Amino acid sequence: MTEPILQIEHLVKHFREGRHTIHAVNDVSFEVYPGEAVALVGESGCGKSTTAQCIIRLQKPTSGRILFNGEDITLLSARQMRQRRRSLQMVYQDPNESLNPQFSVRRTLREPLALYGLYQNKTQILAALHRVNLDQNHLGRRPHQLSGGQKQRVGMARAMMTQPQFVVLDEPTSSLDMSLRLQTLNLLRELQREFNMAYLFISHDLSTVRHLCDRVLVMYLGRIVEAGRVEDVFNHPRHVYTQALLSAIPIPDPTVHRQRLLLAGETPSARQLKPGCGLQNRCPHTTAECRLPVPFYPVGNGHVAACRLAKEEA
Amino acid sequence: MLRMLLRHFTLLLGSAILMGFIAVAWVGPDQMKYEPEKVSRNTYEKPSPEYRFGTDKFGRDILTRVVYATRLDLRIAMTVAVVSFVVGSVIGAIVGYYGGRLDSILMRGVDILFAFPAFLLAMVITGVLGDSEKNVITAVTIAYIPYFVRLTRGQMLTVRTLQYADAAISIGNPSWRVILIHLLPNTLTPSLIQMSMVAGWAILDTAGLAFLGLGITSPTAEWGVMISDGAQRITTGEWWMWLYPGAALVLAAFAFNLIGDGLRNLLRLQ
Repeated sequence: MTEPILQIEHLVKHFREGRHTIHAVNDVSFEVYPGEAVALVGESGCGKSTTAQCIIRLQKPTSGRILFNGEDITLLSARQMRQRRRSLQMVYQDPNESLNPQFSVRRTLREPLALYGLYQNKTQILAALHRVNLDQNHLGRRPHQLSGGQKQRVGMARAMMTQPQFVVLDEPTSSLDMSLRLQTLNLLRELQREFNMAYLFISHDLSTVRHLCDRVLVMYLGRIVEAGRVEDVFNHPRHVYTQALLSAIPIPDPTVHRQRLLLAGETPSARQLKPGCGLQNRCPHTTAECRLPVPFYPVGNGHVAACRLAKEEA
Repeated sequence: MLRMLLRHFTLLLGSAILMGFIAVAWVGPDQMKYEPEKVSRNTYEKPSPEYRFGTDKFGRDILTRVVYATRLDLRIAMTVAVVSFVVGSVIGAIVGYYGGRLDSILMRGVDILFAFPAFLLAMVITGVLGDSEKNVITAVTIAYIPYFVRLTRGQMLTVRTLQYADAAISIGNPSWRVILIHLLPNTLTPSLIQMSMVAGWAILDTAGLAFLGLGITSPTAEWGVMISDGAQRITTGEWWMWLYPGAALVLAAFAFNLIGDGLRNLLRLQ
């Protein structure tokens, strides 16, 4: 078995908000192996973006370890961290906001190379542009002269400039329309194959996850509730939350009728977090057991779920 | 085209006047037949072909002095505007980016400076430093730095939360590059407008200090000094002594303000 490129161990991130503490991420652990695309899915506010920000150290974790190539990057100095960033990049959610409006495409793409002394000549930038289906006509443009899809591709090209081993993609397709979305996903797949990169793909859009990823982690209220290979989790979801999430995917076929699993009530606030399953009281199968901390129950093929129901199956 | 001209009339008019002043400051002194501080027996001469703007009580040519003063006053105003802009923006960018205790302490200091009118502050600083061109520039610059600090800090608070700030960090930029190369240039629009305004105020302040006998002093050819000389003669009919330097001063301040207003309109449209 190869070594994981990224190992998250018991990651916790709390924010202070006046007298309250927001429990954004609570004891999250997972691994990503080289060349693998892992999805982190969950509803808005479940802590998936915070997890991403901790990984690339835009946020300092409250506790826990983040091992990148076996080295705990939470302990590195800012200078040491900068050196690691060459192989640990990120693609941002909003293409309209993630590019510096003052920078031309050329300057945006040259910078990551120049920062590591890798820039030699324009052919490097042109090659990167070609990979994302742009050409030299776009070199001199500023972000406001590009379309949304073009901007997102520039953002992707920027992250790939230094040929990172690991890229965090924070909902890179959420602000694109459907036709561009598929195009972008295919592009991401090609880039991944070309450089054998590992992806952490953060999304709340499950159909894109199915299209792109190998494994999926389902996050709810700052915890991972289910993890496994995409086929296993999508075809046989074990956690009630995952089942509810999957039943919300629209099926583009009017003849298929499906029972939608609706959960009662709202997602509880991350301010007062109870022990046990985050879905207690919302789930029709809640018992006293659900109010105690729930371990992961393996259901085969690396598929695990933090749900009482999975235990009986296993 | 005509609509463009009309829409940006203030900016164009201001720029035209300023260009005129710059031209006078640049080549004017070499065209003068008199020396600015050379006294003569022809005191209190009315404007005539010989002395186009008349002469003062020491027989010095007013036109020559106004032209030399243009060079001095523009130099002071522009230096003040540029230096306070650069220093204030960099300080504002740094405290705005990092926030925290440094920000709180520095901004309270800025609030204290704001409690005094800039002119009063400049007066006190000049009084302490002594009279010289350099000290006037220093004093007026210090008085206007807080304007730029506050402006840039406020802009920075917004800009630093945008995704391209995060992107700049995650690509591997050191903090100084994130602040100065990525974020600061995106905060400068309001500061540019402010810079033009400050140049106008700095001219008024410099002349105002000189009028009160601070900073630039007699016999140096400076608008405020000349207005002060003229003011003593305001009741006795030597109107040319205060009118010409006064008009130059008002026109110059007016030009900078027109440019500031014009820039505001121009940049708001974009």
